[in-house]
Amino acid sequence: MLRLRTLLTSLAGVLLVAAPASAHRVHAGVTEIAVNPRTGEMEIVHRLFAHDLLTALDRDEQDAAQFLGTEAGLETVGAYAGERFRMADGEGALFDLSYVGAEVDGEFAWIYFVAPQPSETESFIVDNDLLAEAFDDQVMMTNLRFQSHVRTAMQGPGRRSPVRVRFER
Amino acid sequence: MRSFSLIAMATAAATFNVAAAQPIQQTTNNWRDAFRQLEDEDWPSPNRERRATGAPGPDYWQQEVDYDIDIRLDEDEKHLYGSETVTYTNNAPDPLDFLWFQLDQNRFRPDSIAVMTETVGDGGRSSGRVGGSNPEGISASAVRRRQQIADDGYGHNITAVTDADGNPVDFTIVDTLMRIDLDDTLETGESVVLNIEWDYRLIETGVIGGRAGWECFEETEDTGGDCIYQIAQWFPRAAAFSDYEGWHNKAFLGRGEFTLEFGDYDVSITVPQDFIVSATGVLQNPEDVLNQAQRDRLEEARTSDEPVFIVTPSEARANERRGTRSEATWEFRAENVRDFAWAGSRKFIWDAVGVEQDGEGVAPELVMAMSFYPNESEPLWSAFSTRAVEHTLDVYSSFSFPYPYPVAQSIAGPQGGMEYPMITFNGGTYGRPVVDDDGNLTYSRSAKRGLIGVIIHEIGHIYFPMTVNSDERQWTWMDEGLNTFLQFQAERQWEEDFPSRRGDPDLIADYMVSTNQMPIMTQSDSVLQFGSNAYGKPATALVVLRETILGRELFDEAFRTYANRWRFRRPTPYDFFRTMEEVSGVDLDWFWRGWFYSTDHVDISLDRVIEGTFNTENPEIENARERAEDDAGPESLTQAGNREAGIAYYEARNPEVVDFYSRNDEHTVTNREREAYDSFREELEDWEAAIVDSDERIYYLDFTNQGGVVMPIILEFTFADGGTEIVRIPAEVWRYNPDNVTWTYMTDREVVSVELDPLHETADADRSDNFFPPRIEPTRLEVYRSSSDNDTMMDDMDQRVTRDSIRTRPQ
Repeated sequence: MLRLRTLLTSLAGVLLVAAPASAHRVHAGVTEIAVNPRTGEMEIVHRLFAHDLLTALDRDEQDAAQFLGTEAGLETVGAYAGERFRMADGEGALFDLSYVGAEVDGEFAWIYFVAPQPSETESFIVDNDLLAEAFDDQVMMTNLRFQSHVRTAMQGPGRRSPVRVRFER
Repeated sequence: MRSFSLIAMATAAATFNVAAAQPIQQTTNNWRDAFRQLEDEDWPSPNRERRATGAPGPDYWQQEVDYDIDIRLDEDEKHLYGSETVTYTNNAPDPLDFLWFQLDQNRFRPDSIAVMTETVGDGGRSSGRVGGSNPEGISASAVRRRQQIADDGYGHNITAVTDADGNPVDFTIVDTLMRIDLDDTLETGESVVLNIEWDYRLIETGVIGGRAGWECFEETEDTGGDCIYQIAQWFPRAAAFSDYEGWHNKAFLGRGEFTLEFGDYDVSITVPQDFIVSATGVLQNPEDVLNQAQRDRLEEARTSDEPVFIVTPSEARANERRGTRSEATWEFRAENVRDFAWAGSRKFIWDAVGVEQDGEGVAPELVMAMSFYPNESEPLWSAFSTRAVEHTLDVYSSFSFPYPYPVAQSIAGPQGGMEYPMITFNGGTYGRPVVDDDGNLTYSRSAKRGLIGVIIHEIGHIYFPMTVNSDERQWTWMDEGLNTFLQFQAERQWEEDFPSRRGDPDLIADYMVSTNQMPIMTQSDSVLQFGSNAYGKPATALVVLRETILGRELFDEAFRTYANRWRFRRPTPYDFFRTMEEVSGVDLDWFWRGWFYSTDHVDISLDRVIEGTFNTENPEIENARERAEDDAGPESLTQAGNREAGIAYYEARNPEVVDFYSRNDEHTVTNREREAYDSFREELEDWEAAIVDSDERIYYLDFTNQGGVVMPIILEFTFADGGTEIVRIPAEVWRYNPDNVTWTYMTDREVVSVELDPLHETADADRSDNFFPPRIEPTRLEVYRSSSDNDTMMDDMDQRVTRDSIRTRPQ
């Protein structure tokens, strides 16, 4: 109980401003992870609603495309996504993800990271907390694609802890 | 405990149905019947109420329920007090001993099924607990919500149920439903009158969620305080009783919205005297609640070319400050609607414009498009809201039927998006400009487009499901999916490259490959990833059906037929599926199986292309060709090495061994070959000779269906002469083998490359195997790396707007 109380205190300041769910507004995003056979890199691509991203960054007054057209905007988004999305190998060792950039296309903000191709692909741990601090009902779906197989990690209301994903041999 | 076991059974049943709908699997191999018909195995047998054509049958019936309601808002207590006289007419062939009513506010009771069954990680508003088996914390907003639900006494209080003579009638409340026992059996064709009195406390929408409630504003220099009230699912409403389900007595769990019966409503709404009220229906007593100027403006708006203020922004600002202890009663009448909602506030600006339409004898010739919003929503709302309503009517009517009601309204308030007959709640965080640190008023592109999008969506719901009365409590996709499809069409017609959230096939591929999804044909309350499952995927399916499978002409006629057949009636999924097939004349069972009953995705690969040409048997041609093929092959490495080393052939050094065969290779044309060819030609029929003499080439193309959904194969051939051709192979190409096919293409031009799904129209999830010769398309990330795109924006350009205009000015 003490642990709960401590965490509640630390989270309260952020979570009290969380927006309510509405009937037809869905707070959801997708992260796609796959190795690019041409470059040999593992690419991590986040797709979020641009409007939601700016709300999370407290930049509601800004146009998302323009915000991501500035160095400061790119840095802000990169730092934010780098902090709120983490990925580790099966042993829990975090991958060092390099921020490539971000852009707006239509309603969506796309955020790009890369990392060296993992040597082992049997198991991964992902922790996708993008926008979760801004919206109670934010659902993030992470698709990992290795050896032509897709595994999905879901994190959303009530299930925010890291998810282990296995690719059985 | 009983509640939990009920839920478990419902889920198991849904899963069973889904499993049963899969194509028949074999035991001796992996073959599956992807084109197996759904009729009579998975779909209900046709009867006299519902036909195999998808049309209502000769004995189709539905109930009628008429309401006369008085409701009063106690603003201080945020409490509603109501009484209603319900006239229930039984058109069913079944005698009824009791009637069921919905009490949807009971979902907020702490002991409701909805509240008691919130789980960690479910699809709705859960407890917000973090961490699965090892809880790590709970969000403050989740605690606040729980506290309010526990302490504030939400839910319907039924204070009286009486018959037409005022005698008490027995009733039983079961979660969000109430059974009223009739003294006398209600026979077919008979009506019964009941009186119900109730009250309930309104929820604070921003805290509790839900589809209605209140929002109060902080008073600032620029904006006033005060509140907006959006009132919905507020009165005891007769549950649906249908030919296929009997009583639709499924508890409201907060997700699957509702279906009801059509009827006429007379509603008197008593609110503080300075409120402006918007409601389902037409205002009956404008002389009592509007001043002369407002009535004149309303009349002017009927024939105006652009929206006219009925209540101006400055009048609304002044109204906020008046305050009053007196009350006024607004009277509305609505005919042939399946529900009634309303909104009230002293903050409301009100604008309106008359929209002319061809009512085709079944709908009004003039519809009043109207919007109600606070100054905080300006200047976006006066610029776009009513015009978005007008645009929605135009596009949706072209796909279905003329807008059926005299009024279409868009209301700003706490609810982000919700629909009721003639009235919609839109907004939430969308559509409100922001004031930056320097006091400049701006709004983002997303705020504008989000506002237009949500208004199109919610107004669109007045067609589906408020007029085409599908049951969202069971099948969310039937109204959200169809409506999102039409929203996409309307957005695509608003401006070029409108950034729609859903509809374009590429956008749904991520969801369709994910591993924890469920079929579209899943019971509403069990759906996870609601936006993708119930909105995005069915909308995309219909886009694919229209643009790729059927074509616009066939699709539009079939869709319009569905809409008109079930206008003011109650369709099931099978009525939709059947109508689309019957009218288009195209078998679509494979499509419904793949897109609506399965969690397979679309991914077809082009594995191999082999070119074949006709053997002319002409030795002058064929021998030369064979020689050229030999010459084109790799030379023996040893022979080449010897030449480079200057080693001369024995034959060259000893010409006496050179003979006939040394001078003529095996491709030299012989007289016997010429004679054989002449004889071959003589035996050919003329048509055979024409084929042999033609330049036709046959290409063998191997495909693998990696995703599981059978789909048309769309190919773009590029030829050596630079030309291209797109070929569309119907999905039936997969009927013998839904996993692998070889298909042939004949052309007189040399093919140099082939691309599968060149227009990105099938939601193919992996395009890396869509090319011959094979190539890997750059990933999105690679494309980003190699380019930089930019856009402009109001704030960055140091532009601002004012509350009264979207015209930009320097900051």
